[in-house]
Amino acid sequence: MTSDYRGEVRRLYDTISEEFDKTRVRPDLFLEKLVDRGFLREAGLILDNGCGNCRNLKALRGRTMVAGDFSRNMLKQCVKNASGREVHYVQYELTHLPFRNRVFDSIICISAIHHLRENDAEKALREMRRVLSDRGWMLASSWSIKTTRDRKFLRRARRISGNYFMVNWGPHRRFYFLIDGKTFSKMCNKAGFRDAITLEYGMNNYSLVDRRTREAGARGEASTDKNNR
Amino acid sequence: MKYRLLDLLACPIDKDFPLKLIVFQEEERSIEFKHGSVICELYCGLKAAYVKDSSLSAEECNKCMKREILNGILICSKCNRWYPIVDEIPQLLPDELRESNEDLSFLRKYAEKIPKNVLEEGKPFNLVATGER
Repeated sequence: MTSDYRGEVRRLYDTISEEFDKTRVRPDLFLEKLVDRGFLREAGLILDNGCGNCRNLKALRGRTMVAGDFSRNMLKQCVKNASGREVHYVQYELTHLPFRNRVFDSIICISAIHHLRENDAEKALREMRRVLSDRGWMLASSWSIKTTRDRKFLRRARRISGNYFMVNWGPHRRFYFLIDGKTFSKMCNKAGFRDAITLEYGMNNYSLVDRRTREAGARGEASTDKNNR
Repeated sequence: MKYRLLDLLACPIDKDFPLKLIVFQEEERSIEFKHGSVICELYCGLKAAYVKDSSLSAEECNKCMKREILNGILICSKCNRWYPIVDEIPQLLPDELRESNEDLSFLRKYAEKIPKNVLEEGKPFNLVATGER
């Protein structure tokens, strides 16, 4: 058995996969809003990075998708939920993406990076940068530290140290790295997404990179990060 | 897993591309694909050849997409790491997140179909390290 903390998070998701699938049905609200506004019209080849039960696929109809997660049981839920669409499932871990450079037109990574410690979260973002095409877009999200202001949340969470928390799921516990939007933005910048726009929406941080209309040669050079202005 | 993935996958450790595929078991699915042109961009996993060196047609690609690989193995020719494909899903985890018991059982189960250099020197687990060879 692996003793790595990521191994513990994976075992937790392997354990709760069926319950998770029953209770986490709707796609991410912010992602849905983007889709409603036509943001994802030309999505090409999409990677759902840390796909969980693939609930976010529902927002992205009719496109070729690769869905990856480190929990095999979560991927089994995806296979069960698949409805004849072209989805390719892969078991992997966020800090070691098993894809060639610049292969994806679009990447979503919803509520996954916060299960990694700071250095691993940065590594995961660098990997996303490596596999994203020069003319692609990327949306990453993580739970915000604001969550800890909620009393209900605090009843089922325990701070380990700094920004690291353990949060209960029934009798089980999940590791979380909770930060504010500004810190999330800095992490994205440091990982090479210097053109990321980061905002706080609800209890989440979202970072969006859109290079579809960028001229060749300008990639990542001009910072449009509003938190840095 | 479909052959299509070979055009996208690289070794998670050293990013070597393409990976070598050996299929143990596959089946044909009834789902129809209607792509109008060659699907893969760089590498055709079915022919184990680069797209630019192969004469492919959309018809062949749509046929290929019906084939589902149930069990098999992916091998990185650069670092000699191997990755199992079990129940349709390729498992490309870093060494520290792999389970040695499961992976060694996989090597034993398919030993006759796995190249000798993988069985004896493959990373992160092989049958020499366990004293079985």
